[in-house]
Amino acid sequence: MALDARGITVRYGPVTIVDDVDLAVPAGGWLGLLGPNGAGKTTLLRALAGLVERAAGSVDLDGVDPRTLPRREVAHHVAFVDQRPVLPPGMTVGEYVLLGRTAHVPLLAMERPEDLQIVAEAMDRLDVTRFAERDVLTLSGGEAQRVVLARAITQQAPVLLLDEPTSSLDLGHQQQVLELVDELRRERGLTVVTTMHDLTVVGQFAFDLVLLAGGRVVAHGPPATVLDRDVLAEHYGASVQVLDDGCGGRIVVPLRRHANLVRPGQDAAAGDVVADPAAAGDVVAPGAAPVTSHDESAGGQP
Amino acid sequence: MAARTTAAGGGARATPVAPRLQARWTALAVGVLLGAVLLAVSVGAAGLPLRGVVAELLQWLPGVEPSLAERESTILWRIRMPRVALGALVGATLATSGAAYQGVFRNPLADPYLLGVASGAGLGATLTIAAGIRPFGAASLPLFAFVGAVVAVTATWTLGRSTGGRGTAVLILAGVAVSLFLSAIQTFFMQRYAETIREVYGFLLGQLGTAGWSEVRIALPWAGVALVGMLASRRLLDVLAVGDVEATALGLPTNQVRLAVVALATLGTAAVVAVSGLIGFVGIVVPHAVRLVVGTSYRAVLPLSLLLGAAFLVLADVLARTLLSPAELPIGVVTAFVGGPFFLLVLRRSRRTVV
Repeated sequence: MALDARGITVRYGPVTIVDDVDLAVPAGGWLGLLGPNGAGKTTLLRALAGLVERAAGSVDLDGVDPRTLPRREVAHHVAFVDQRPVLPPGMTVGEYVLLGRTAHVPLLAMERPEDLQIVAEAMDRLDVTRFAERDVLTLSGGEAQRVVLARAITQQAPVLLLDEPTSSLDLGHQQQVLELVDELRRERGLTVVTTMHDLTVVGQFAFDLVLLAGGRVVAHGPPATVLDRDVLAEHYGASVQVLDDGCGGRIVVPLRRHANLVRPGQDAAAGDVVADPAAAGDVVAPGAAPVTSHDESAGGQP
Repeated sequence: MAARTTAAGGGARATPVAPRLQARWTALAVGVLLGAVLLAVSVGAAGLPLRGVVAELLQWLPGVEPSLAERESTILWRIRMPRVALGALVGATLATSGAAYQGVFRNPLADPYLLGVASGAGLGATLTIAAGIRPFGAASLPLFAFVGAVVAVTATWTLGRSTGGRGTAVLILAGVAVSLFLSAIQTFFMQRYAETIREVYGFLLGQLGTAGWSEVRIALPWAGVALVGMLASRRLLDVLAVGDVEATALGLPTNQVRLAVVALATLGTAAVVAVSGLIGFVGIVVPHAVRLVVGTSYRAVLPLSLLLGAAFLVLADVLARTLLSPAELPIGVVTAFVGGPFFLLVLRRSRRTVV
């Protein structure tokens, strides 16, 4: 299902959080929303899910505006996972995943056998069946994220919106979760939109990126275009080096502004500020010069 | 990643995940309730033989002959049974409403009196007693208490909405304001009509002593509708547990569900408060004790709170009328006095998280 949003504007009182944002994701596509803290990523994602009131703009899902539909119908089209999903203490994993069927079960009825079957399949697919009886609070970060994804796919919505799906995960689990989302996208033709902080990782999974700053789109396009040193420097206020991973992808490396570590007892002037540590060039081929210029023994930093 | 992708076709068989109210807990709760009822109808100033009571209750079965004397049969059906039935109805309604309020407000301290039911009913009862307005005879007190409760909660709801806030915190604060306001009026009337203070306190502390079938008939339709409605919403309360944003994203019309469940719980509570007075503690202790044993899913918490709330109040009433026999303790005193330590005991013995 293709997602097409035009002129999305969200205001909280007098404050404009999202300002006239256009974006489009083809069916089966993956769009990454980037931006510094407070850029409006989460609010935009919620606006796409119809969870916050839009002051202006339209969302089109294969010709349907979700705002014209009742909540149950919207949930048939769009599944949304919050940045920090609430895992109610005392609820078992099985009961939690079952919540994904909410929109498919008549309001005052209980789940039918086919709902339980869909839940069982989703749990098997995400390898969480063995946790079924466990309290959701006992799960590790990676396990919890798989359980939340299992809940999301039992909703059987063609559009999957994920707010920071990897923010609490270590490197390995980040990869596992994103690869899993990508597999589900390919298997089920899901249209995926994620907000992400890790620029390198999002560039590896999303076909297109939208960079937000101050609620507006400031860059839009494939990762090779958006993940640009000057663009990132301008909008994140960060000093970065962007490397080519050799496969057309981009590796974004943050750089220290101080060339040298100032150790305890050392003269502060020893840590010279480098005006532009990434001045060596926009894109450096893999295996090129070391990325950082500071002391190799940085691991000993107090 | 490979390990994760083979599960569907691999050795792991699709296990149906049935969120069920475990039969053993239901059976246990039904057993406890039946035991409480049998004990309550047998124990009292005039002891009734248990065997005779059972035969009397089961006399509609073929081959069962009633063996109670006529006087005993009258005590059973006219005095004990209505009181036990009312206790069970009140306990079931307060416990279920308490659990429902806790689910709707996602607040473990929410109880059925949160939005002003108690102060509204208290004021209605005080005005009836103090001013001696009894146009409907004995039914006047429950009627005015019921009206007071409904008016109070309606005022709370209207005030909460009028601030423009949609959050539950605003509603709870409005409930506090309405309760304080109505309590002030009630205190004023209690001071003015000090000679009726004993009767007013009788209501405020809860009472089943005057229970007859008429009280059961007054409360049953409202409480019955409320109980059926709340039980039907038990799955929805589980969805609300993930918070409004995600519950909405999952397809739940959260505001409508919250309004409907609050309305049902309030209606049931108002109806039972009108006939039994203000019996505290049941709405908090029973649902939490249930959660400590079976977890927090409302699919189990609501039905078990209903059964065990009924049993709890029936047993509390047995204590209320036997501890100082022939005098009676207010049942609200018993529920707090017995319920508090019992709850602490359950809390200590359990390692589960409460709500």
